[in-house]
Amino acid sequence: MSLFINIPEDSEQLPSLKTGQGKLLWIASVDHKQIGIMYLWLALFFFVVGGLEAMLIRAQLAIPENTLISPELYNQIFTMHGITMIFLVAMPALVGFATYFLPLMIGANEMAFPRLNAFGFWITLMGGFLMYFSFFAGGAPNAGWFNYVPLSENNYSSAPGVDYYIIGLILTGIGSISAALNFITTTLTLRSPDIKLNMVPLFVWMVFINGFLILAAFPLLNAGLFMLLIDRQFDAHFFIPSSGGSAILWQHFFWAFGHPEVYIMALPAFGIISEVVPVFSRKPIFGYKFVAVSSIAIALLAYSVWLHHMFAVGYSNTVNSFFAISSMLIGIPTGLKVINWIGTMYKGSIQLTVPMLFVVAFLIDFTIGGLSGVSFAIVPIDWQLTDTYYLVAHLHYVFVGGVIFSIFAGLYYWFPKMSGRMLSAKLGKWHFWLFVIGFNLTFLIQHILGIIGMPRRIYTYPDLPNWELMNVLSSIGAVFMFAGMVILFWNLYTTLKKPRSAPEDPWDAWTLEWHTPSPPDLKNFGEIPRVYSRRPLWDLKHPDKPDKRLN
Amino acid sequence: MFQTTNVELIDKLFIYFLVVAGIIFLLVVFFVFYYLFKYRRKQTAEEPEQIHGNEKLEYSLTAVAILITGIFTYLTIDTMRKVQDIPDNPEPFVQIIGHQWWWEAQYPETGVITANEIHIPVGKKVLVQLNSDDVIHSWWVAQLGRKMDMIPGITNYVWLYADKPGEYLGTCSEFCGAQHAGMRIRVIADEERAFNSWSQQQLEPVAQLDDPLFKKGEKLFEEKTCTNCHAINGTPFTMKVGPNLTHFASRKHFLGDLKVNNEENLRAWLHDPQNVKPGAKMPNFIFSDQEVDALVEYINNLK
Amino acid sequence: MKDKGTLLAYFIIASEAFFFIALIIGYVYYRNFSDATDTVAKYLDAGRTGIFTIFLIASSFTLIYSKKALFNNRIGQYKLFMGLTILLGIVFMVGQATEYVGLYQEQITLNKDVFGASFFTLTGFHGLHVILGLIALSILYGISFGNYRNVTKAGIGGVDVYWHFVDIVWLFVFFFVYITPLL
Repeated sequence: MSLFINIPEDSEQLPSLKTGQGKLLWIASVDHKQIGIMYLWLALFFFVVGGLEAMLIRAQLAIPENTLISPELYNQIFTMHGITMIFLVAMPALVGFATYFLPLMIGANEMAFPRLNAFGFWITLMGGFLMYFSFFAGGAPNAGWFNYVPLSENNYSSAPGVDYYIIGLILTGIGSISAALNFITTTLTLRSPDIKLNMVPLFVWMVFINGFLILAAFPLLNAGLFMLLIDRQFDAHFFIPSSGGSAILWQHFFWAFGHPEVYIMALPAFGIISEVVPVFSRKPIFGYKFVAVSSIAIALLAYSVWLHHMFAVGYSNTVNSFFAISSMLIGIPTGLKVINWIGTMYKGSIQLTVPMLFVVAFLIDFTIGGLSGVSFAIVPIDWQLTDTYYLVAHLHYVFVGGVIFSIFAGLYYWFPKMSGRMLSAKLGKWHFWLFVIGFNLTFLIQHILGIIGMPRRIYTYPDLPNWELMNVLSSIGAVFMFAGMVILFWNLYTTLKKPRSAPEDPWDAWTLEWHTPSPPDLKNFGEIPRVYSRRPLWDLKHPDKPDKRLN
Repeated sequence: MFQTTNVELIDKLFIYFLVVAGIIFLLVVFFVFYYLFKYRRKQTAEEPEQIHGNEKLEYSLTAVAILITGIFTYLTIDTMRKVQDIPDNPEPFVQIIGHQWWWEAQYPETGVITANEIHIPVGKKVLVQLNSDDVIHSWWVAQLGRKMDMIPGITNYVWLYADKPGEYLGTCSEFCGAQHAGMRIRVIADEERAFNSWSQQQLEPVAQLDDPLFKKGEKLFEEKTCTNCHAINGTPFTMKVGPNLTHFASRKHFLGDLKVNNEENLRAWLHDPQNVKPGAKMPNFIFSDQEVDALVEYINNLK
Repeated sequence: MKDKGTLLAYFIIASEAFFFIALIIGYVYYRNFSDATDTVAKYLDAGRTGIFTIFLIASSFTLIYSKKALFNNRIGQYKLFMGLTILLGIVFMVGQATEYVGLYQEQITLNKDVFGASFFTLTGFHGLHVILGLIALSILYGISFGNYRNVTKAGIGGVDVYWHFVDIVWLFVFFFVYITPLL
């Protein structure tokens, strides 16, 4: 008699909308493609919410001494704008793409743990809704997205908003950790037998590295969050200086998470760029090895730079020097990637499709964000410009110019695969131009606003020379971005109403996901083609001049 | 004595950064658009030559990047040492304490205590001690020196330097709650003589008038529990929850530099503080017009 | 690696390890880098807790034996050692509970000061992990009486990694909270 049996693989069909009828399957489904799409809808929904909050912020700041929004409400709005865009838009959108395409790109039929995958989505959704429920429960979080103590302690923020912030972030954090566990184990165990780890598409590689970043970063945040929760709910004093606690420890916990978090969003975005540039330049990625290895360098360095968020805290010059050096160093692997993307365009045959347009905008605007980021590693410059609008401009160039542009590129690139329909290129170009021009109008000028002295997070400002002019321009830019988003939604709506017509491989691309029908069947691959190189479909299409064989 | 000020040192470093960053940015823009233009897809295009990379290029560019990093590391550490050279036993010229949402200033040498409008002498590097009474604030007057956080439980020091007399504006730079925006700084740099006479004047005992309205205001100030938060030197009332009002009328602005100190603004403030500065800690006492008259008369004569 | 369940367990505990590192850093920070003196340490009895620590460590070894027995199809032995593992875990938790009660009688509570807070947070989160492990072990134990086929290699493969991790974390907690104040 045997006490155990080996677990049978996929003996029963997993629940999915494609296996039966009934609305409940939206909840019960564990199909990675459907969960990926639900992640994207979640991100899109919260993008609208966070975008409206941004519009309110720009409306309030358009004129000096404005009384449109009360300071208490303004603080809730900018806090929720930050949390929403980071944890409920950028993260779910990238996790959504990864959930959908990671198995497809490595020739797998499912994630390693489909139920864990569904759990991750639903708990992220739960965390998001919980945070927004706070608006009806006595006030939203109002201490900024990094929620510095002691401002976020009971004495100074007695409304329950911060508690919702804590619980909400713990939940979405658990969701992210589940997703990361799945990405890592899937990449390690479910690759098609032909595919070695140095042959996976760069998007898969970045998501894989990213998984480790998530696993190591979120627990640090969770530890800090639990301590703060214990402070607020059980009257402990971890972070209350007047009774023996520390006002600084929270900052260490938060930024030891917070800086890797920047790369947690940036790495998959880099992955999308690394997929889109080659396809529309008709050339393989320039320096695969360098792009891949520099991601590891970024992931490791990401844990040694957090103090550059705290240069104004007053640490000794020695401590600051160490973090200045590591923060400058992390710019090198990132810069190397930009060089590789431009190198991919060199001697290519460039098609300016909508995804490629967003990549071009990414290359320009992310370079601005990256360079202004280096100025914060130069400690004395940080001492003048941190926590001003210069910093606001910098972080938006990284998060919008870097991450959101990549997400748009990915959306236009993969939409035919996910829905079976091509998004309108004409509307896409309108979206592109309005959004990119609006974005640069809004944020380029904020660099100067910061340099002339406007601090961030103020709900209004005095009528000083030129402040109003620059803020009005900035607000006008926001209107352009808003218009661009309206067009994107119109494009999605009209396209989704049309019948399915997209071919299997509309872009003539080279990775395995394009070897499936659009959209793929429940079982991704009937049979997986033999893979010998990093571009299996190139080898199939060009048997006369295949890539170098790697296995 | 002629020397580069801290602000000039930082500005110089920023210019160096801008030049290098500008060159890198222009190179990126140039190559992106040049390649876009030159390698646009032709109508009957065959697949281009499949280039997989160029290791030599990557290594040499990495070396260039490391070199630039090295130079800036040196400049950073050098400037940092010059800007932030605090002696081992610092003797601050003035101690500034951040409160939600105003600034308290104490001059240890003379014993002057004031609020919001901070006076310093011109042409002299003054060492400032920074503390916080509640949450984290950040001291920043861009023209006078670097930014530094004020953290409860921690003492920080910065140098301030004004090369010509005048009023310098700054602001709290760490989000500190509802009226973060209403926590502005005004530093007034005076010539040595003017600064000394200002100090003398601040040390004088509190004004006393025989005017009955003034007397009524003085009595109200005590009866209406203003003294629970505000100190007046030379009286038993020494609470430091709100600004010290002994020489309130000598300040040109009040409420964390939010409003000009005139009768109209003072009246509006006493009538309904939340309307003037929403979120401020001062409660609405629902004073009658006569009471406001008396209080304004009293406070406005505290020169 | 073939067994994705064990792999998953390894990555989960790697992530959990960062969580406990953060909590331990918090404790060490308050001990060594703040002006406060440790008010809790003098009430702790390292000897008594040391004995309970031995019980917890022993449970790791019994779990190793029970796993070995399971793989060699010695069902009786498997049940014996698994039961012993659970029992040792429970003994440890009883030790923790009595210690908490004793400290509360000395007026040492979560909201006393940073050391009260750090102590209960650190040991409390560890205790929660032990309880979680006990639940997982009990499930494995329970189903070995019923439908045998549901007890799988993967099941015990994941749980044993987790249980050993909980033990190792306790060694660190024990060292930093109980031993270092004596040094």
